[in-house]
Amino acid sequence: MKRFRKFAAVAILAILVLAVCGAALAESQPVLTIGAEPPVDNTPKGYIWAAIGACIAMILPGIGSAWGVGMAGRAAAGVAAEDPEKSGACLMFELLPATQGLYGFVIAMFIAVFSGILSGTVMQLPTDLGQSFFYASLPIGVVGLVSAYFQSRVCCAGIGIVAKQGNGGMGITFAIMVELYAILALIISILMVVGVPVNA
Amino acid sequence: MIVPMKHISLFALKKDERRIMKALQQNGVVQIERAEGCEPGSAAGLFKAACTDELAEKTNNVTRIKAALGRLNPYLPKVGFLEALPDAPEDELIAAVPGALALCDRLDELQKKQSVCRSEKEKKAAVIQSLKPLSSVTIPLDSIKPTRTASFSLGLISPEKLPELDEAGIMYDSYPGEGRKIAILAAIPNAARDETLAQLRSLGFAEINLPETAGVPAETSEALSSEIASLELENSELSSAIQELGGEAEVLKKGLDGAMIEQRRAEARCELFATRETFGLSGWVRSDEADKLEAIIGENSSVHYLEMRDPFDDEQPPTCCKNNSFFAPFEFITNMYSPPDPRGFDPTVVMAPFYLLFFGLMMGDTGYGIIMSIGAALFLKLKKPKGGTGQVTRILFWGGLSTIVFGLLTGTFFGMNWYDIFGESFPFPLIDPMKDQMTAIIVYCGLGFGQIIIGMIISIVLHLKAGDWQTALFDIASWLMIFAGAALIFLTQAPVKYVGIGLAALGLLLLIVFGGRAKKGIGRVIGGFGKLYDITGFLSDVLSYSRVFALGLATGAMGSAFNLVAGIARDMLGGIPVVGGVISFIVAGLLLAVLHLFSIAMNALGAFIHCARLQFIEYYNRFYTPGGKLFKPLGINTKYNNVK
Repeated sequence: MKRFRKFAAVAILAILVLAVCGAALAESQPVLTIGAEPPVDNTPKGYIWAAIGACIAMILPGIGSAWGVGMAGRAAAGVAAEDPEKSGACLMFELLPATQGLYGFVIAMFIAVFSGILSGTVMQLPTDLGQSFFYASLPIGVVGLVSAYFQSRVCCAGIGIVAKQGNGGMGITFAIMVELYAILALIISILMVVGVPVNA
Repeated sequence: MIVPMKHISLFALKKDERRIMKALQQNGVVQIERAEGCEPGSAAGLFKAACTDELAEKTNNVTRIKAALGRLNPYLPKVGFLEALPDAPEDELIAAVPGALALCDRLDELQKKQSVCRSEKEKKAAVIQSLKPLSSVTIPLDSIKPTRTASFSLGLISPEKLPELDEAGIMYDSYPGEGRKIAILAAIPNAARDETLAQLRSLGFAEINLPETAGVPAETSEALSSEIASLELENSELSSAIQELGGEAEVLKKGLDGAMIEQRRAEARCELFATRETFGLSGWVRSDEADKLEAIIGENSSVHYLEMRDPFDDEQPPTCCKNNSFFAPFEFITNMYSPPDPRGFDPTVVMAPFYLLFFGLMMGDTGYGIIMSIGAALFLKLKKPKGGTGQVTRILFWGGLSTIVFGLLTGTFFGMNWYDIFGESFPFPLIDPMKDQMTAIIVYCGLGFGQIIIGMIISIVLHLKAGDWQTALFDIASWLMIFAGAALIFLTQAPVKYVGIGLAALGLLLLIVFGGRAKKGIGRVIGGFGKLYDITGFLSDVLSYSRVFALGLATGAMGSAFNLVAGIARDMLGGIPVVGGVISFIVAGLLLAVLHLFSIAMNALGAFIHCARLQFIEYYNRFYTPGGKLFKPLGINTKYNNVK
């Protein structure tokens, strides 16, 4: 638990740093020399924000899922070593925390497509629209990271049920309960991404 | 549909007992339950002692054959993933047990020899190791014996200390060798034993405990090395003999199945009770198989008494559901939650259509549906899976078909949009969740709300059947009135609208006035208002169906992302001159196949589980009584063979 707190703190700090970096990059102006006219930088900086958003949507849930699948995988391997016939049920539990990473991947892909990173039109993306993509990545990013971790803990307990009773039964349902919040975050992220009026 | 159970009590002659039990196991109609008063130690339980011994023996057989199969696992002939289990009659399996046990004996013997061989080898290697520092000693070790006035000590010392030894006047013989220290044989006079030893120790002399070998060390080592070589040869011969046993896998597999059948029967026999000449059996039988049971017993016994009766009110019979071949696999989903109460209602038939509906919406990709259906159909055709695996495969088959339909209505084809393939005028999908998110969410939540309403209607019917009209009217129908009224208020114009207002008001009144009827005093008055709080439950249940939107969209998005990846790979490799076309085609094709298969697996897992959850929490909550125990008749359970 302590390790996780540290880790979550680091992750959230990382977002803040990224955000501040982005803001700084986007708003930075060339150094002024005394007496010179301040040059006006009119190039839109949305591309930086959109790229940071896509990164956050992939990185944070990816970390959570990798961690969660790893934890559940260790527990599953322990059970499968004793009784290989139970490996099927264990595999199901191991894969449950993997979904958050996929949701993050979906959002990252959405941001890449909608902001024009893939088509190359991202350089014309206005700063405020780019920032919208950045904010859209936060729900799935943060919730994905945290829910993958906690779902994995339920999954490990579910693997305990498999070890003792032979099949997971309700354990799967318990684990799915945690997933709801990742799904809600995914919905909000999707709605926010597709709602950005890029072509307006 | 839940099949009613009948309780049976059977008495027959002991001499017919084995015949009857065998017939019961072959037909799998009775779940035997221990009768009261036949605990071991009681007069009726005397029979049990013999049975327990038999059970222990049969269990031991199963364990031994399983262990042998586990040991021989690397050498067993490979069985294809899609290969169906071979058919074998029960007698053949049971006849294979002695042969399998003989193989186990042979394997045990070989393994024992192997372990003896190994430990011998280790022992000899250890002796060689201990002789190493003495390799330069040229006298036989057994010739070192104490004399009347002195004893001798063999040990190691640094060569530079030798002069000091001379100074101290200690007699010794040295054997210079290759090591940093040299071996010396020091004479220790009995008269000055302690002083001499102290002197030696202060000079860094380390005594060696002589190994129990005779002869000159170097020669002994050599002899031992050749012995080790021959032991290694023997060991490898034993290993290959064990490996050859892997060829007898058929006998072992059949033997294991036979032993499992015998074990199961022995287990069931332990639940019987007996007098001197008769035995008794009590248990459960499906009411539609009662006649069959009577016929079986009649065929296999000379004299018997069989009594069947309906379960008493305080008895908990096992639950057995009967559905046609389409609905039967969906019992698996219900049983994942909990089998229904034997006096309750089997929800399979009212659940399966919703399960398929939401499964299709969650997968939402026609291409994936085609692959799933074909894959499941092939698996069913070739492997002929039984039990849980068979049920899940059938669910996936029907789910695949449903996915094909809903992929056309609301989804994609292998991640591609329909209008990208067939042009803008193509009428499908009817709802595109990618473009029209709010409509999609509202439609899916609306479908979910419909499912909840149907759950409530089922609940009303069940309560009315049970004679509990109060719960049906005040707690459930009142809500339906409120919902229907609200729908009329929002959707219709003036005259009908007033009907809606009236209906909603009536529902509200019923709920508030009678909601607290089970409570006393003040709770009776305000209890109804507490019921209003249930609206949050409805709200969260309905919103829970928004997951259908998210999962459906995620499937399409994942598919299109994979298409994008493959496209990028094709474009990059296509630039290579001459061979670029071929390479890019192959690589992109492989990428598509692997990535889409992964996507199918992950999304099918997600859809399977999330769909089940929607049934358990949002639907079953409204009407379902869980808590049954599955009917598990005495039957034949095998692992490697299909019993005809």
